[in-house]
Parts: sequence; structure tokens; C-alpha cells
Amino acid sequence: MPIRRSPRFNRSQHRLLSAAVLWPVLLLFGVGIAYTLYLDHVIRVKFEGKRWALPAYVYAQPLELYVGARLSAGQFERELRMLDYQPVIGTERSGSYERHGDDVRVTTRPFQFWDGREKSMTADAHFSGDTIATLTAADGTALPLLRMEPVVMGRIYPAHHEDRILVKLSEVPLLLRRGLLAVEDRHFYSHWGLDPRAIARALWADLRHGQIVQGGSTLTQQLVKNFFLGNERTLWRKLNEAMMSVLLEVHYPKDDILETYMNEIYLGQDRERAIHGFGLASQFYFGAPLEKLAPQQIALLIGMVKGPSYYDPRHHPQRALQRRNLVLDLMVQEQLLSAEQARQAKLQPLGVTAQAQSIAVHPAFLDLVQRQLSRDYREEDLRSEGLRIFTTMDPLVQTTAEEVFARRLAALERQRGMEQGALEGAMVVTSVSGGEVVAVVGGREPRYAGFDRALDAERQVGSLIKPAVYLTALSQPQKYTLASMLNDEPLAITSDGGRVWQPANYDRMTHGPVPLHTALAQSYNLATVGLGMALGVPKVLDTLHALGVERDINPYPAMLLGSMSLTPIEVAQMYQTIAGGGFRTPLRAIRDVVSAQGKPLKRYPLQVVQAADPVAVYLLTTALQEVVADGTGRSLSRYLSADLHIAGKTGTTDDLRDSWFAGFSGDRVGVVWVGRDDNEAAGFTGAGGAMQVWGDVFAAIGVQPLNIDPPPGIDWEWIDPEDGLRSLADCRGAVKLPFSRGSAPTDPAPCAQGLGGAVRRSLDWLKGGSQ
Amino acid sequence: MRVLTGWRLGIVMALGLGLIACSVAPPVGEVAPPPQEATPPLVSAAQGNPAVLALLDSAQNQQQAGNYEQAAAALERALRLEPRNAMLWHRLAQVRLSQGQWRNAIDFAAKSNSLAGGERNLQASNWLVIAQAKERQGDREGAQAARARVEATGGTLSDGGVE
Repeated sequence: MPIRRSPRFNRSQHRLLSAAVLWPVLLLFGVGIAYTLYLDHVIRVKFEGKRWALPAYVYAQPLELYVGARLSAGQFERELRMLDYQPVIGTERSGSYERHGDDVRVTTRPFQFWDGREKSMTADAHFSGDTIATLTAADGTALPLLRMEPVVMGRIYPAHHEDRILVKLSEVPLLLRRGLLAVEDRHFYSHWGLDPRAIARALWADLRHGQIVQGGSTLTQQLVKNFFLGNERTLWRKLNEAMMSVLLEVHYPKDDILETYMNEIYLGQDRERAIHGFGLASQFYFGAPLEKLAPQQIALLIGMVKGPSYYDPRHHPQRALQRRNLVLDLMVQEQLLSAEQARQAKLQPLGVTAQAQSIAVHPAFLDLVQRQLSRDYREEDLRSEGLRIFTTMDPLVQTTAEEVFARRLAALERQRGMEQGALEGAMVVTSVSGGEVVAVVGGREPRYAGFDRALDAERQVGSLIKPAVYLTALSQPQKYTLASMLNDEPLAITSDGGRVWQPANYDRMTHGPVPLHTALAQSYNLATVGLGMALGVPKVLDTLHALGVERDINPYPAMLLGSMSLTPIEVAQMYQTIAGGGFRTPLRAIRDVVSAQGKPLKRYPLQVVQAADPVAVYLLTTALQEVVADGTGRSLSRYLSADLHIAGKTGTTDDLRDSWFAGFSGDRVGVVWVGRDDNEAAGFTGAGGAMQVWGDVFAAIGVQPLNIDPPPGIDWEWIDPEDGLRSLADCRGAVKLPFSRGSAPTDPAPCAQGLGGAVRRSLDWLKGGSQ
Repeated sequence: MRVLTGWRLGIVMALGLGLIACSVAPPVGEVAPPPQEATPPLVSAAQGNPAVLALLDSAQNQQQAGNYEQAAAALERALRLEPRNAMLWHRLAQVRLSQGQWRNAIDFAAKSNSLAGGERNLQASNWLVIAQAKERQGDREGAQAARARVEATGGTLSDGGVE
């Protein structure tokens, strides 16, 4: 700014003046402008950016209703309760249901999915045992498929754990809007950010008490204060607040400021979650949307602005009631309510729901979700963009697994007279077809967001590794079949360094010549090491990697018995590929992501990669079924019927430190580890510990039988288990085994030779047996 | 013990029990050639689950509208209901083929084949998907081998929008 010279001053006077006064004034002025511009920038960024900081909502997988779906009326009701649907009689309100025994009428809420919107509708489901027998729309027509809205399984909060449900000013009840202004800032629509009359009143009060006791804050000032979340009441702070308030008013219309205020104002605390805005407060305190609130409920929310914890209706109902009634009186004064309406309203109780609507907390699963998300999203976007994340978690399986897991571990401890709490464990359950993780148990205390053993506990896997050895063999059908004879005999392997390794069987015995399928079913170590050495350790490692184990593993012979450590989820990936018929599907915890406005953002599609020959995997699977039917997993029949034909493998490590079981039904893959965090001996074999948990969980969630149609290229033959030669159905002890086409032994066993053999062959043929 | 199946029972009557006692097992291949199947539309593999049919319909519509990811999403939804339905895996292979995701198309078609059992028409269609994807990948030999497999299945290709 040019300075005009004044002729009345001489040169020296002028110099004096400019040095002593003008420059400091100019400097101050400049700093003032810069500072104002800075504040202006800060407040605009805040107002336009951060005011919509929304947590990411994480959903479980939605329930699909259709005729034939495996779901009981009780399970359905449990899911409806998780969704906070209200039981009703004779009405059809969105988000309600009516159950009479096996008949359930449900009226859904609308919901926006990645692939479109599901409208609200009323449907009748009739259940028969644990399946849906009929499903019809309200008009009686058959409904092919009904997708329920998903359960919220978690939230990923902004930095200060704020949560809110955004409301538009036009949706806010007039009583709330005008009542709020009457109580908090009656000159809102006429002041310019500050209200001198209110400030004067407050100053007077402060002076009388000798300290700051009363804020004469306008809504604008309160909003600014909320933005910066500080509670210090220094003069400097007040000055900044005042300047920013004025600046806000310069830039934005009143209605925008009021709307933002309504979504920003802090109204309570739910454990670590901060309740911001009237939209969420309405849900949090009354379990209903804002537009459904009665006058006394609106009055309570308005009254709470002054001190959300002081007037917390759940902790201080008396104070809250007094405050509410005061606001109701004020509403009468302002002619927002009639005296009669207010009298009626005062007679009503506070009407808050008994406890904060709690969402299921599954930190172990959420952990997996966040790890997958972190590959594609920045942390700050996850915490502020209000993303809708659709996960693969099955709430029924997850909650059942958590409950059963804790109960079964306690039972194992009692059984061994161990101190309670000594055992720990982890479990992963996935869907066979899509590699979708449906449940993760990270420890026996599922609410505790601590060490997630399912993802992070690296433990020796022991015999769980053996299927990789046998799959390597069965992939060479010209050399190995299920009937191949292996030698279970003592052996010593000398490493390059000259060290000698002498493995032993768990029972310290040797079993001589045994068929390959028996060696796996009985988990014979010596036969397995002999086989693995013949195949070559690197070849077995290749198979292991193809099955989906990605980490580097040293090619030592001891790996053939599972000397390496893996996490439960890595083991789940390995068995997933076997259960998937040799097709590897990368495990997924997320299906898709939608923006806060319902726009589809990202999808995590189903992928399969052919990792092994389906024929070889089929052969392996039948041997793994034998593990459960007749091998080390026999006692699983305590929990699950033999008709389910479960396939699985036990794993036990030295000194009984680790107890493992991995297996699959027709629809689920499950891996359980049980042991101690301090790596001391836990005292359980795979069958005695982990398999008990596995069986208990799989029985409780209800699974489908494992009946696989053999892939093309399989022949079945009768085999003599004594020598692995071709036998016949009527021969004593003969077992029927699948073979890769053309690989079955052709030499007849003694029983199948000569005239007797010919007769038996004919009888076999008549019965439709071997061809 | 298995129940005697129909055609075997018939042969037993024709030959008489005494004859069998002194015979070796007759060659199986000659007795009853499997009836030549008519070529049903591939969708029959869905076997009437209305939920799956509704999703197949939706996938078809989305694919025709060029919304391939929406089509894939509908098929994945159907697969959650019927994980071993070879038809659904085949349709997913077709969608990926339309999108130019050759590798995925091949893997889905192979997965479908591993579940296709005796469905020769479906197997033929899967080998065709594999042949087309390999051609586009520039794998001539692989494509030719896959085309040979189309023939070998003995199945008939439906016109079902494979290209």
C-alpha cells in the first residue's frame, strides 16, 4: 500500500514516525492478514472436508432365502434379531417379523448392494426342519430368491472414533430445528457468527465468578469448537473461535451451517465410539430414526447438547428428565408446543432403549478384513469416506464357532485337570466353492482384540503336511496309486552336514508293507518319509506351493513330517485347494465395496487357478475320507455322522505341543489349532484336542455331506489290501478304490485267480460291481 | 449289496443263470450302448432350482447389456447356492471370455469340466471356451489340442453365445 507523504512533517520527523509507528503497524497488519487468511483456509478445509468424516461400515454376508436353503426357523429368527428386526403381530412395518412356529412373515428394509438395490418387501417363509420349504411374496406368488440386508459386523472409525448418521436439514423435524435454536442460539438467523448480547451476558457471569463459567456461544461457535475437539478455554482459543465463526458466516449460508452443526454436534459415547449428530443420537438413544421421534424425545436430545455426559439419560435419568422438561417448557414459551402437548409429553418416560444398540464385535475377522483392504485403500480413506464393505463372514457360523470354541477348550482343560485358561487356539472356516472365509476365531476370548492366532500364530504343522506328499505321488499315476505298497520301516537320512535323522512313528512301532492309502489314513511317519524321499523333497515343496502355501520353506527332509511352522489361515488355504478339487481359490474376506452414496467401487471377484490334477486330488480326498472313517480321525464320529463322509487330517507335534485338525465337508473347510501360547506341551494329539473342537463346531453349524462326483477319468477296482493286487468284491477284506484310468493293478490277487476267481468275477458283474 | 439294475437284469434273463456260471465276464462295451442323448439346452444343468434359474437369467441379461461384472456377480451368487453346478462355472468362463480374461476363462472352464461328470455337451462347450481363449493367447498348439477335445467328448455344442 503506497504511503502518502504529508507536507506538514519535515523529513526527520517523518523518518521518526515511520520507524517508530508505521512499520510496526504495517507489520502487525500484514501478520494479521496472513493469520486471518490462514484461519480462513483452515476453517474452509474443515467445513468442506472433514465435516463428513464417516466410519466405514463392515457388513457380514447377507442371508439368501430360497426354497431348499438350509436354514431353520430358529436360525432365521436369530439372524433377524441381529438385524434388529422387531417382532410384531398383524402389521407389516419395514424391519419387522412375525413368527408362528415354522412360519415366519418378514417385512424387509430396503438395502443398496454392490449389484443393485433390494426393495422393501413382505414375504412368508415356511420352514420344515432345517430347510426352507416354501417362500412366497405377500400376494401368494412363489418367490425364487430373497436377499436380506446384511448384519453390521463392525465399523472402522475415523481418528477420534466418531460415528454419525447424516441427516439433511430438510429431513429434520421442525420441532427439533426450532427447539434447538430456541435453547441454544435464538438469534442464529440474524447474527454474523457472534452474538454480542449473549457474549455480554456470559462475560458478566464470568466476571462475577472470576473465571470463565458460561459460554455465550452461538451455534456457529459451537460448531467451530466441535471441529477442533479441544476443550481448553483460553482467551486465545476463544479469539480464534470467534474469528473462524465470522469467517464461516462470510463463506456459507446459514442453512448449511445449521445442517453441518446437526451432523457434527457431540451427543454421547458408546464405549470407544463417539456419537456425533442428531441422526445417530436418535438411533443410539431411541433405536428409531429422527423423523419418528415424539416431542419429549426431541426435547431430550436438544437438552443434551449442553452436556452429553452430564445429562446422559442412561446414567443420570433424573437430571436428564429435569433438563428435558425444561426444554419442553421453553418450547411452550416459544409457541412450538401447546401447553397441553407439553403436559402430555412430560408424563412420558424418557423412552431410551435399555442399552446401547450393540453391534456384534468380531475383532479377529475384522483384522482379516482390514489386512485385505489395506492393499487397496489408504488408511485415512477407510476411516473417513463412509465406505460400505461387504464381507464374507457368515454371522451364524462365526458366532456359533466362537461359542463352541470357548466351551470346548474349557472342557478339554477339565478333562486333563489343567488350569482354566491354559489352552489357546484358533479356527478358520471357509466355503468350499468360493474360498470365502466365513468365520475366524483368533483365540478363546473372541471379543478381545489382541493377538489374532488365526492369522499370526506360526506353529509347527506336523502331519497336516502329509497330503502334499501323497498328492505328489498320486499325480504320477503310472508310478503310484492308492494301492501302491509302501514300506513302513526304520530309516536313517544323512544330511549334507553329516547329521543323521532317524524319524519314528507316533506309536514307536513299524508296520512293514502297507498300502499307500492306509499309510496316510493311519499317518505312518516312516512310510511317508520313505515315499517323500523317493519323490524328492523339492517335488513335495512344489506341490505345497501349488496348493497355496506361499512362504519359503527349507527343503530339509524333516519337512516331510511337517517340521515347518504355518499359521492356521495358511493351512486353510492349503486344504481349500484340496477341497476345491485341485483348483486353488485365493481366500477372500471381502466381496465388494460401495461408497457412502451407494455407488459400486471395488469388487473382489471369484478366481480359480488349476493347481493340481483333479483326478489325483480326488484320489487323495478318498484317502482323507478314510482318515476319518477308519484312521486317526475315527473319533470324529462322536460329533458327526459317518454319512457325511468328512475328509480330514490330524496333526500332532513333538511333546504334544500342537494339536491340529484340518478337514472339509461338502460345503465347508475348517482348520483348528489348539496349543499353548508359551509353546509348552499342551498334552493333546490332533485327534484328542483340535479335532474335538472341529467336530463340535461343524456339528453345531450343520454341514452338507461330502459326496463328490468323480471327475472324468476315474475307475473303481477291488483291491486286496495285503498285497495291493486286483481283487474281487467277494474276496475277504477286499477294498474298493478309485484309480486314475488305466493305472489300476492288473495282476490278480490269489483270491481272484483260477476258477474261483472266474465265478466271483461273474457274480461281481451281475451285481453291477466292477466293470 | 447293490440292486440289479434294469438292463443287467434283462441280460441275465436272456442268457440264463447256468450259462453264466461257466463263462468269463462278457465284454461290457457291447451289450447296451448308452442311448444317444438329444441336445438339451445347456441351462438344463441348473436342474430347476428357481433361485439359481433366476440368477442365471439375470446374468444372461447383464451379459447381453455388456455389464460383465454384474453378470459375474450374479453367477457367483448362484455358485454360493450350488457350488458343484458345472453349468454355473461354465457360464462364468463364458463371461470372462467375453471380457478378454483368457487365463480366467480357461481356469473356469477346466473347473466346470472337473464337475461335469457325464454331461458331454457341457464338456464340449468348455473345451471350446478353452480353445478360443488359447487362440487369443496365441497358443496355437494348445488351441488345437482343445479343439480335438471338443470332438472327443462326443457332445454337441449349443449355439449359446460362446464367441
